[in-house]
Amino acid sequence: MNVVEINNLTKLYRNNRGIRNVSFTVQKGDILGLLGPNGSGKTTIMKAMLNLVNSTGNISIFGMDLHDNIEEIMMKTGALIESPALYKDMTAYQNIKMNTAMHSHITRERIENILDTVHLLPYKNDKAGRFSLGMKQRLGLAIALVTSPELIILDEPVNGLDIEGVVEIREIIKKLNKERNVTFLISSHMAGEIEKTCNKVAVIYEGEIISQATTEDALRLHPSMEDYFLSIVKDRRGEIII
Amino acid sequence: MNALLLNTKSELKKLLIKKKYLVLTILGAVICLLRLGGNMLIAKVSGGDVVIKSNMIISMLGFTVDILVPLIIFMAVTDLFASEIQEDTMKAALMRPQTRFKVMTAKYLAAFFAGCAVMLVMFVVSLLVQVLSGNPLSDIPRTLLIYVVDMIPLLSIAAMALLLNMISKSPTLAMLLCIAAYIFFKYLNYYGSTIGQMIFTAYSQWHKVWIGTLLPFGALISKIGILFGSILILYTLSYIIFDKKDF
Repeated sequence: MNVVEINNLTKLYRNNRGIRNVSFTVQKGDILGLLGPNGSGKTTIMKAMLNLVNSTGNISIFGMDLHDNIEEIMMKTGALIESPALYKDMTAYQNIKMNTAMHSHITRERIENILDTVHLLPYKNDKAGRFSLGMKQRLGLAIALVTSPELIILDEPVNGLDIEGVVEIREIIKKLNKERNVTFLISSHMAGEIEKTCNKVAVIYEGEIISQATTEDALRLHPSMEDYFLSIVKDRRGEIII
Repeated sequence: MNALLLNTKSELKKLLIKKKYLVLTILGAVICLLRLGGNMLIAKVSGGDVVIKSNMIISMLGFTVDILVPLIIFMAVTDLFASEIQEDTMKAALMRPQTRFKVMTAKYLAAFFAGCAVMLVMFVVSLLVQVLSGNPLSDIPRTLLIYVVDMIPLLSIAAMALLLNMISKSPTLAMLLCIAAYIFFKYLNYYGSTIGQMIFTAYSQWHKVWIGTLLPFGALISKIGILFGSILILYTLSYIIFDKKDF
């Protein structure tokens, strides 16, 4: 079953950069990694999926058209886009509460539980404006996870995290995927991270998806995800692959 | 509807966290007290020959609806739109399960309710000052009704601020534009004769249309049309811009 189905998605900014005719699907239970260099269009795809930017093409999530069913779709979707959107005057607890105002089933225990999961429980009454980059990233992740969504969209989720934090986030993603069959769409410019976390990969380059494969297939012909990415990109550029 | 109410509530909470709204409301109350102090001083200096016996609740209405509350609304709309866009927290609001129309409406209503709340606070404060000054309390329900009726034109002030926030690139510019446009419109209201009366800011003391005066039906309909027509135009334009924005 396709959780996400995107056809001919196009979004061009004034500088003529953006994404062109992007099409891909994400199946239930997949952890799809969008791998691409900075400025390749990863964030734009995710923003279009969350209706944060106006785009053309078709976006269907949970079998529903995004623009006609945004409320229903967002009820079952969690996201962390770029730097976490946090209210700096509010505490960590208040930030989560504010972002879950429409989800009546979210209790204090649930919020504390998710803060504990991202190791922020001791800081629940501290203002988000005083948090370090890593703590903000963890709080953003907590907001994305707290409603127990069926689809989670994470844009560079390990940005600003230390090694331990990176491993913890990876474990959380894998655990949720394994235990609750949560579908993930994760973007990263770090091939190693995609290799360790995702079961499928889509390479995005200059606003276009130039390759899609399972992680297993990608690694069958290449020693690492990094090599897979480089060979795809060089092939695209018409460079000779040694 | 329930989602809209829940969202309006959370937008109001965002405003309550900011202390500047409390400070401005206290400032309004202090001005009310200063006015009382001034009246008492005049009475003392004149040796009791000049005694100002004004209805403090009505005297404070002009200051409240023409200066204090519009300022609060401009700040609230700017905090909920231009500031959120600049601080990138607008994304959080848009990622909640609701349409852009509901996001904008909730923020707009929150700013309007903030203005209404300040009006009610000012009513209570001026009522207390009236009691303290020993002046008679006359027809409190009618005075309260005047305050409530004067809340209606605040919808147009908030809609104007909304539109100016949509076209501003920064909170500072948005706030400056709101104040400049408001002063300009008020100037036209007072000195622009016919044109001035066609601008929505002319109806800030909306009670004058309904209470204490008898207007011909045609004039009444025309005034209602101008006010609600302005709200509709400003609100629709704001939504068109908001819906086309990329975040």
